[in-house]
Amino acid sequence: MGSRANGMGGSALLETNAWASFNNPAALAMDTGNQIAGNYANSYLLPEIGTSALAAKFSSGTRAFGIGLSSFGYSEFRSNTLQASYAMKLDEHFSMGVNLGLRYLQLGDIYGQSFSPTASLGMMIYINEELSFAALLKDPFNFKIDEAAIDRYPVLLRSGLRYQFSDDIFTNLELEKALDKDLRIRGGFQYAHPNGFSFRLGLITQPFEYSLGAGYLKNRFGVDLSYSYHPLLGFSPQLGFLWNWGS
Amino acid sequence: MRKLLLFLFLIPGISSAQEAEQIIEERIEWISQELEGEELDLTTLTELYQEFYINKLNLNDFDKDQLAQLYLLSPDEIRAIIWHRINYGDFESVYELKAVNGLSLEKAILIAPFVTASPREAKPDSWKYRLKSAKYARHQLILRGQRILEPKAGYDFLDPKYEGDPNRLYARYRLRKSDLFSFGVTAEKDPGERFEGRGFDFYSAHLMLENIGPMKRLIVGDYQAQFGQALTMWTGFGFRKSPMQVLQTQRYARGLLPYTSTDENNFLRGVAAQFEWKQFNLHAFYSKKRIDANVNLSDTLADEQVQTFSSIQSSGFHRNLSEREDKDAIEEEIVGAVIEYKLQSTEIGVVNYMTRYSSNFQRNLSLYNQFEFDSSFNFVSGIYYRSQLGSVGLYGEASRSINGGLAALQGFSILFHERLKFNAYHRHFQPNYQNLLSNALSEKSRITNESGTYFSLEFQVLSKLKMQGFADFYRFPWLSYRIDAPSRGQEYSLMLQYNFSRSVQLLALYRFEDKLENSSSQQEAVRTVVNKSLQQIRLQLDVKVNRQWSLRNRVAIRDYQKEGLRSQGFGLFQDLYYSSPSGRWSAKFRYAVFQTDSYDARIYAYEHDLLYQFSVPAYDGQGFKAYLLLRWKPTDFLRWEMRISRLERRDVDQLGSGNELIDAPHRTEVKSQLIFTF
Repeated sequence: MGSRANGMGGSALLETNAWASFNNPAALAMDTGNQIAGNYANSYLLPEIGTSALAAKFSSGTRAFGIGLSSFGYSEFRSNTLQASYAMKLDEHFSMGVNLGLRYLQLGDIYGQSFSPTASLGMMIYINEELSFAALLKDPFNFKIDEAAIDRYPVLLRSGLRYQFSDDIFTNLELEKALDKDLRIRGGFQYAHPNGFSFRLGLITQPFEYSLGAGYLKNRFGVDLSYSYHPLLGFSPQLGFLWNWGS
Repeated sequence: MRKLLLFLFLIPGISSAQEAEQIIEERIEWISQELEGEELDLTTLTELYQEFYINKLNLNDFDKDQLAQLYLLSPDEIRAIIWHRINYGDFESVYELKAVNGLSLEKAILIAPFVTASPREAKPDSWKYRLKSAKYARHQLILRGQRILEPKAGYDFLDPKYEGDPNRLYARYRLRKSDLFSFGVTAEKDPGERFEGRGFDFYSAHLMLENIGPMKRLIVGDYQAQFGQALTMWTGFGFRKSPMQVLQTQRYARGLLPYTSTDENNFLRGVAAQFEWKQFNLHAFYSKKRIDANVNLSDTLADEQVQTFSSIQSSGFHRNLSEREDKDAIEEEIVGAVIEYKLQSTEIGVVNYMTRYSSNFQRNLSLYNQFEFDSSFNFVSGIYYRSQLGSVGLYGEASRSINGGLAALQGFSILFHERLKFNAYHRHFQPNYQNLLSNALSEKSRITNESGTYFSLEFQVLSKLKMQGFADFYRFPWLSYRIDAPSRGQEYSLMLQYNFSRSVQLLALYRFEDKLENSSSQQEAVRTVVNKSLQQIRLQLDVKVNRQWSLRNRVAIRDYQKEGLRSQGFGLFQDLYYSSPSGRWSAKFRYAVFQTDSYDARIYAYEHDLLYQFSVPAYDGQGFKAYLLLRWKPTDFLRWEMRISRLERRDVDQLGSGNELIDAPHRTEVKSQLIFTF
């Protein structure tokens, strides 16, 4: 989640911004300060399948708290998620976080609606000055979409590394295995210029996609723009903003 | 200097903050993580570590075989320790290990918990002293229960196929004083076996006395026997090919040992003794016990019935009438003797033993197994040796069964440089070599019909980068199970281990195997053999965050090909470990997601388990596996452990088959264990 991560092929496990509430709750505690962020993601330039999201994080010392709200779809199919995260640093370089939420699914007028829980557990560690590692376990309990339904939200396990070449440049490599899908590999790269501009590039496998992104951060305000490209379905642009305070 | 500081920092940390069991578990995990099997019997090895942890080996006065039996050091490294002692005098502290030329820091840390550096002192050999020291004997009582929560078909309420409940129960008591005596009783009931009225299904007991004059050891009850290079006689655990232990082709036999495991057939029961006189050792043993077998009755011309057996049952299950009919069906008698002659750097021995069964072994002979043991009597003789000549180690064994079948193995190891070690091992087992107690290193589990040469190498490329690998080329001169022609194969393994720092390690492993097997085609009148290949890749990142937290991430990929058909398997594993600051309690958690195209592409992964339990199960299909292992040690004499695991598959609606069928796509297992030590 988040335009910044989308520009890096969705490799988001080690992002310590407010979107960590969705991406990896452990990352919330790895950065001090508070942040509020908003994002709009359109899928394949179809107005009906866009996702609007808001997230905020509040951190102090070794603990952090995050909330997130997202809404996907249109009047005939809508999926909303409300979630809260709590993260704690267990060591100077290591944190763990947990996320609990509620999903609301509405299928047209006649198929009804359902509520189901969502949960995830994450961890993150700065191995040394260059290397970081993170892992996320999402929906480990294989929740059903609805009490009467057979379908379940798939378990998802992700793990990833970040190598920081310098203060300006880093690269991500993440593995993602959802229970019902093939392994996906996500790679990301960012160059951040000292004047506040960032440029991002990402690659994804199964199916192969690429993404590009750019961002600008000035004082406490930032804006990120990105798009990803699917060879058959086309472009998916995203636009996001963030506001920092208290850091 | 940096090496010294690291060592000083690490050793006190190990001994104070971590428990003995944790250290032992780490060592055994290192050794066994590439073995494959639902339940591995490593009890004897665990007990060996426990014994050395409590009664540490004195670096100034140790038997080099004892140090070798830990399977943590190569002969060159042991020689380096002895050489250091000869040249620089007795060790003043364990920390001095870091100064031993030819012993890496990693290896020094591995053995440090099991050794000490004390002045040499002769132990009084009087009965008075013995009786006095007996009060320091260590008692250990283990009580364990485990159960799979989902009902299996065999326990159906209306039509039960098993007589007992689904609980597995285990109890063990052991009283041990090192170098003096050991007494132990073990009892076990498997799931499905009836407890009421019969008690435990399996009992084992032993009494061992040590160092009574020239008699080094006397065992009455259940025991194991391990001699030479395991070609003629070796019961219990024996190393297989492993990418983690590429140099471990040479065996360090422990002779006669008390038996404390729960394998219900693979041990000896009777009396055994070891006598020592100067450089000579004499081992004599007699065993008589009933074993499980599939018995057949045949009519003769004299209108009598003759009993034969077609196979020996090794499962140990006696859950219903059919299985109980096989229980203790035949009598097995084994008697033998071993004479060893030991010099400073050379050892030579002769082993002979005889086996007699109360009935004739009559296998369902096919063309492929027509040379295998198929009578009621066998006599096997062997001769073995081991010698260290400077930086070259030589070892070998030759053996002959009563039918004239021969087997031989020969190996050597060379220390080219303290950072470069090389090992070669050749074996040749004739198709008619018959020996059910052989456990030599080989491709197949049965020691017959195989020739091959194994090369291995360990190379410390950089201070942080280690490389080790092996190549094994083998052939089966006669037909084998599922191979209807003489065949050949090869296997390679390469492992790279990079230590970013003392707390971060990356491991990359590649393994390739190529061999022949019968074609799967049902349309051929004559089965042809075709090529099958298996490739495995594993990446593992270990991070020790601090004294409390550690994590491990693993990616495993498997690729299987046969007759142009390809299947692949993939697993992603995330482990998280926690140990409280006081060391009183700890937790280990795993979550793994896997997907394999077929059973041939299954992924194996080591799982943490209760103390004395080990498993490296196969993950196949599509699903996830999670477990949580909790350990709590409220006092020094009590330890409680609990493990909950859950396997869930998404590609099937049922698990297992027959009486073991679970009518659900998941399996949940709960086990708990109490250990009293005083």
